Amino acid sequence: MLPIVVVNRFVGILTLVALAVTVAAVVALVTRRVPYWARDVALPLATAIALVTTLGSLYYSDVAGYPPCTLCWYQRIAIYPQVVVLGVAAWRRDLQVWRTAVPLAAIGAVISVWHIVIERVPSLGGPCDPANPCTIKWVEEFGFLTIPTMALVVGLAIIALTLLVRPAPPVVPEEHQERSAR
Amino acid sequence: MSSSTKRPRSTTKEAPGGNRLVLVLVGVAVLAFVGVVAFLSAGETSDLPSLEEVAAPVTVEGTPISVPYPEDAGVGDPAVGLPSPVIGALDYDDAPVTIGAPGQAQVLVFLAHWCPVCEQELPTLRDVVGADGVPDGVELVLVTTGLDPGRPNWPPARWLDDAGLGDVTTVRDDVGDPLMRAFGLRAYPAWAVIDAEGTVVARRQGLLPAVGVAQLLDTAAR
Repeated sequence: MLPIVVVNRFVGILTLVALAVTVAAVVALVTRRVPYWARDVALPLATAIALVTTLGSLYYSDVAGYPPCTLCWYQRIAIYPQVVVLGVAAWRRDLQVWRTAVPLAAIGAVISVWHIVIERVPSLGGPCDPANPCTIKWVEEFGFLTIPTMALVVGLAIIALTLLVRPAPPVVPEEHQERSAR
Repeated sequence: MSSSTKRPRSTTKEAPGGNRLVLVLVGVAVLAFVGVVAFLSAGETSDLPSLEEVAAPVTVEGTPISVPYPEDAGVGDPAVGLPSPVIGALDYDDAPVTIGAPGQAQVLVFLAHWCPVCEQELPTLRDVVGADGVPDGVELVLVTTGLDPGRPNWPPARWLDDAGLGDVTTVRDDVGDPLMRAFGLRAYPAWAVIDAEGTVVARRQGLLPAVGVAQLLDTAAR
């Protein structure tokens, strides 16, 4: 079996890549300069991110033996369905998938933020439950990438990538604009 | 009719099958590259002691305290005033340590190596002990409990060494936390204070501020 340190480093680097993709996508969205090729790549990339995240989380729980805490489960609920949602959308080139994917990812991201907060300030979560406290940092790659931090990056990446392919709003013909202005 | 309508650039053009194949191949290549980088850059796994090497047998004489620590901290602790069980355990040098026997007031601190709240407590404990010291006639005993080699900060002895607590008696609990459970405590960190007559005079669960730690040490000294 692969040493856990190698797997941690692998998912850590992939998370940094996803973070870079997210930043690039946000810049493209803000500047409204989305390259045509980026629209083609965004949904398959979002699907790949959701798939790798799902496989990674299953590895941690079922192979490495890290039991998912309650907050981890909530974040899983927000990410696992994205594999199917985004996969089908990528295959069918459904540019409206953001309507489903963004709310799901946003809910997961909010939970991730709270999970990160109690990881940083464990006393907010009360004393440690011997069974499985949410405050344990099973992984801390590069000094800051814990499991909920990775989940947050994934959620933000999915949001940014699905918004990237969102169709531009329909352009109203000028004559219609003139009529409505009168 | 001079409509100057601009149509948005189509984004629904079907990608040729070849494009999808290229995307998949690029994705696999990226994953393979990252895998190689991870393999080359990840640290070495060192030989760590097993659970059996860290855990140590614990003997409990007398009646273990069965009343749990109250959920509501405002409620009085029913364990206060009960005689402490007398426990035989081992420290990290395999020397025997007796807990709860009359003649020695003790403050027990139950710490789990993987528990972030315990990790947060360590600097407070270090600062209080470093600043004021442990009162005369009181023995501070750290108990490494909640042992799990699969969880962070294994082995616990190294974790405590890194915390810089100095020369403090450190006792090893056994698998299943029999030492901690003998005091009716269930969550980490936990505290039990035994006076010189072998009576439980205080218990706590959860993070304590510096003033709380100092109060427990004073309580044991009275």
